[in-house]
Amino acid sequence: MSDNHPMLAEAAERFFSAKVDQEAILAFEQSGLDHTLWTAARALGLSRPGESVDAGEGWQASEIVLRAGGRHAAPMPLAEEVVAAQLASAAGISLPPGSVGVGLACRPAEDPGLWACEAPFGRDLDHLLVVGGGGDGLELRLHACTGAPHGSGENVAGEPRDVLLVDPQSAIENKVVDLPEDVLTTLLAAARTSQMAGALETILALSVAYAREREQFGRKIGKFQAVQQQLAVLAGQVAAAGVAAADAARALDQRGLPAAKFGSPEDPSFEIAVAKVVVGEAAEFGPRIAHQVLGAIGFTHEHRLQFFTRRLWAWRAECGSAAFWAERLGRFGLATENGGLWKILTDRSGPAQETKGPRD
Amino acid sequence: MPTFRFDLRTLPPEAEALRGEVREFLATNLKDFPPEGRARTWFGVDHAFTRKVGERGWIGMTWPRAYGGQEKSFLERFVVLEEMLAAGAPVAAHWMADRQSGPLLLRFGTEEQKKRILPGICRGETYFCIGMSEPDSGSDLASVRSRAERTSDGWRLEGTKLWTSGAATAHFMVGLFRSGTEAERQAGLSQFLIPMDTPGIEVRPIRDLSGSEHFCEVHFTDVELPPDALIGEEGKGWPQAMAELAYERAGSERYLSCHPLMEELARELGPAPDVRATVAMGRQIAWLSTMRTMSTSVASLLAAGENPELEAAVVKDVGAVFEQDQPGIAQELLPLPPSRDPEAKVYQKMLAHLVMNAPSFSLRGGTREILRGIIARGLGLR
Repeated sequence: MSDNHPMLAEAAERFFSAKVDQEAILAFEQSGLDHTLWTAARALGLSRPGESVDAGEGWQASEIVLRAGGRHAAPMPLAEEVVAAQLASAAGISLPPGSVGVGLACRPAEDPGLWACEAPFGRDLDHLLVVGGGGDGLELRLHACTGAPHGSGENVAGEPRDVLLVDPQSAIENKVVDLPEDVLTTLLAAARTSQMAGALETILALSVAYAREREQFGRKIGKFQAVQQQLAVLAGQVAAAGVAAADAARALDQRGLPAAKFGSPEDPSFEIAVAKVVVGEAAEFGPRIAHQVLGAIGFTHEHRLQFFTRRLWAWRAECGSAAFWAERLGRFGLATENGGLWKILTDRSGPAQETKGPRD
Repeated sequence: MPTFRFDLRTLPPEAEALRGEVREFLATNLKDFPPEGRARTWFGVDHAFTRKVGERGWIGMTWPRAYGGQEKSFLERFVVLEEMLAAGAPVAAHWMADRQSGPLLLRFGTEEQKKRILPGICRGETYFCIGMSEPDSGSDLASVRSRAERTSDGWRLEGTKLWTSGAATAHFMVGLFRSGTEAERQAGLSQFLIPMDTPGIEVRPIRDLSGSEHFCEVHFTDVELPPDALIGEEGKGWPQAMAELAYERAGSERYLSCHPLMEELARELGPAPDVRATVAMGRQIAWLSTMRTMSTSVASLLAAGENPELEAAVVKDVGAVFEQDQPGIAQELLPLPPSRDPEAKVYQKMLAHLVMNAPSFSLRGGTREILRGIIARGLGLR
């Protein structure tokens, strides 16, 4: 939440609201990433918020920037670089200049010796931080991106979801870290919840603004109780999503990077799972209400509501759905040794939670 | 558009320090309490239990020592309450006085009223009910018609209050009466401190659909009260009654009403149920955690002396949907029907109580429609 880093919050909000208008998002969907815009965002430090704040506040600073980006549907690989930078810094990998993203769920490629990596915005990256594929422990490898992606795809919001081939022998830097195999999914899930919380704020604002100006039956539609009640429900979902996303970022700062045992005191995955469930559900009901209030105009390509609702639908499915994370929470919550639902919550929020920092 | 303030807060160490004490207290004092009674939570009445809570100094615990309080912080009280509610402790007898009537008297009462009433509340001996709704005034509270007339020696009350929880056991009512004209709406209302044994007061418990009798109809016929029965100022009953609503709406009672059932459900499901049940319970944990974070955030704003009316309405509205869903979710996960049969499992008896009481969750303390209206106003729509 922005009360911690007001200057960062203001800088991010000012940049995105000045630079990311409807035309910018449309241009992105038609002709891809605007490298000038992306470079400007990076030059401001928006892709590495952790570098401008005290140690131990990096994820909360990132939360602020990612939420602002989500609020404006910023068409750039912001979450990917934020995660790459935080992960690299924790592992002691120094990043070269240029854009860096993350490679998820590596698998052996058909070409012998190469690895295929799922890389959001892969086509636009200078470097890729590849996670996985090690023997003992988890390997983090920094690769330069050369040539065209092996596979090109897009999510329903038009964001590149590519596959890059890398040669493990050609890593610029290589570290084995003591982190769980799914660390990247978990961290990206946290980042997505912040983006989603921001997008949800905007669909509420657009819906309220429309309800206050659109007239039918001789009245603003926002004067009808049926519409007011719907918007109040949306407001509740937006508030819950915002709280859950912020709590996940706080957990990352307080507990450190995800640990091997889900829900252990040093593991932030519990709060991240909570956030992806709550935000995921808000991404189901929120867009429904917004589209209902905006009627046919909100369903057009021309209206900007769709930039936000399409992102919510895309992100909701990425890095584990609400059901995926709910299953982990359920398994942990029902395990007898954890002592019941209430004890789990109070143990996690209690004073003993002064755990910290990266491990490698 | 105004935005909501839900800044993340952590409960201070002195508040957390109380948690273990409360758990120990509950383990000792609820040893013989029928486990299915935990489903009643803040509607469960147990006078002996309430007196023990009073002895521990956990009623009116934030109030000045001069009036029997402990001068503890608002967040220490928050921890005591959430532990009691999560355990389903029978706190109803002292609930209204501790949450609403005591704070009201502290703020608007005379020195004499405070000295006379508050210590008894703190000891767990004096109980309150709150007379607001009437036969023709529910959500439209500003339309109340029960009258308070000035007389040569004080006030005379006439009329009927309806749906008054706990009126049959309460020693006092804080009643909202019309001291001015009906045309004045809110401005014609005043609050009165009414001893329930005053001649002319007749209490008739109303059986609800589950067979419980916690809410009542209260008739006032020529009820004579002394001049100092007035609380605060004449004609200021409305703002005085509204001042405490954020305390009423954002507390843990707004999302923990079914919590004892959910713990029992978890025990019945065991550590490794099928995927469907695991996912469903995981969703519950996610929302439980988020509701608690939101409630803690509002509590911290209240502790800092702010009045987060809008945020409190959001917590109550989202919380009521959450807790109202739970009996149905439980029924979908276990093939154990709700039952009041003495031989039935504890889980089934709790479920029976909550299935039948869940409709009230979005009625009490401001209906769903009223709360969403408040949120809509906060959004600038009204």
